[in-house]
Amino acid sequence: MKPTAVQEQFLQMLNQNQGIVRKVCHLYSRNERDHEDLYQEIIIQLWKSFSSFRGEAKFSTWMYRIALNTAISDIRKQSRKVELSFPEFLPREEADAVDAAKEEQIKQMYSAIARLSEVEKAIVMLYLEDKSYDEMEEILGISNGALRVKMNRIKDKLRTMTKEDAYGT
Amino acid sequence: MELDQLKSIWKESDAAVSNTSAEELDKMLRMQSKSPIAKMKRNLFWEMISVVITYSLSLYFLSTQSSPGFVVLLVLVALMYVVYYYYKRKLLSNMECVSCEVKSNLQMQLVTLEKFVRAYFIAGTLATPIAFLLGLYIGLEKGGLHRSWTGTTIPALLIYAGLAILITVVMYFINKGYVYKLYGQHIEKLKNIVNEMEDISSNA
Repeated sequence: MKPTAVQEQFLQMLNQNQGIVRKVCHLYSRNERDHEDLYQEIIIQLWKSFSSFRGEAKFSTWMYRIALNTAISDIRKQSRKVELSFPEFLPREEADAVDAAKEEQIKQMYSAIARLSEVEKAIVMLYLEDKSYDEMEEILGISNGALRVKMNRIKDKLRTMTKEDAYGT
Repeated sequence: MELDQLKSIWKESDAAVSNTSAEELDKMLRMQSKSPIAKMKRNLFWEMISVVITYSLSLYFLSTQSSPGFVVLLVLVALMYVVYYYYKRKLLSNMECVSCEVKSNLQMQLVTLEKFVRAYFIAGTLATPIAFLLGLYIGLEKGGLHRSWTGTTIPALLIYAGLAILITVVMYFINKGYVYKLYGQHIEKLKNIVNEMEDISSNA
C-alpha cells in the first residue's frame, strides 16, 4: 500500500531521529523481544501524536518526551530471558574495534546503567546525548538545577557500582 | 571508566541505526497499541458491549411481565451505568499526554488512574446489593418463592437486608483484592517514579 503524504513526512522525520527511539528501547528493554515490542509501541504513540505536533518544541524534544513517557510508564511484564549487554548494544564494528580491557570497562558501565532506576536512566541517556540541562528540563519537567545535582549523584553512584563490579565486591 | 568517556561511543552508535521502511511503518501502524491505557480502553469498550447486550435482553424479558415501578427501577439502574461508563471513558481519555513533560504526564496519569480505580471499586461494591435485591425481587415475584414482594414479612425483609449487607461486605474485600491485582502494581510503579522525580526536584 502506498504511504500517504503525512505518513511519508512522518517517516522522514522518524528516520532522521531514529537513534532516539532505538536508544530508549535499548535502555528500557531486557532482550530483543522487549526491544521490538517497545519500539513498535513508541512508533504507534509517535504516530498518534504526530498530527498534534505544532513545532513549539524541537522535533527531537517532542520525540524524547514521547519515547521516554512510553518506556517509563510501560508496565508490561518483560520477559526475563537474556539481558542486553555491551556487544548487543553497540554496533558490531565498534565492538570489535575496542580492546578487551576497554570492552570490559564499557560492559561494566552498561551493566551499572541498566541497574539504575527508570528516571536515572532517562537522565543518563539525555546526558550521553549531550543535551543541555535546559533541554533536559524541557523533556523531563525537572528543574535545571535539580538535574545538575542529580547528575553528579548518578555519576558517583555509577563510579561506585563499576568499582564494585571490577573488584567483585 | 567515567560516564563522560562513554559519550563518544554512545554518539557513534547513531550511525549504525538502520532506517524504517514505509512497509515496516505501515505494518506497525496496523497493530494495536499494547499500552496499559489502550488496553483499559478496549476492556471498557467490551465491558460496555456485554452490559448493553445482557441488560437489554433482561429488560426485554422482564418489562413484559413486571410492574411499571420495577421497569422504571431497571431503567434507572441502566442510566446509572451510562453515567458510570461516561465518567470512566472521560478519565481514560484524560489519563495521558505522551507529548507532555515526563514528570507532569506521570503525575497526571497517577492521579487519574487513582480516580479511575476508585470509581471501579465503588461501582463494583455498590452494584452488589443492587444486583442482589433485584435478583431477589425477581426470584420472589417470578420464581414463586414467595407470594409477592409486598407480602414479605418484616423478619423476612430483615433477613434479606442482612444477606445484602453480608454479600456487600464480602464483595468489598473481593473487589479490593481484584482491583489491586488489576491496577495495584501499575499504581505502585507510577507512585515510586513520581516520588523519585519529586525528590529530585526538592533536593536541588
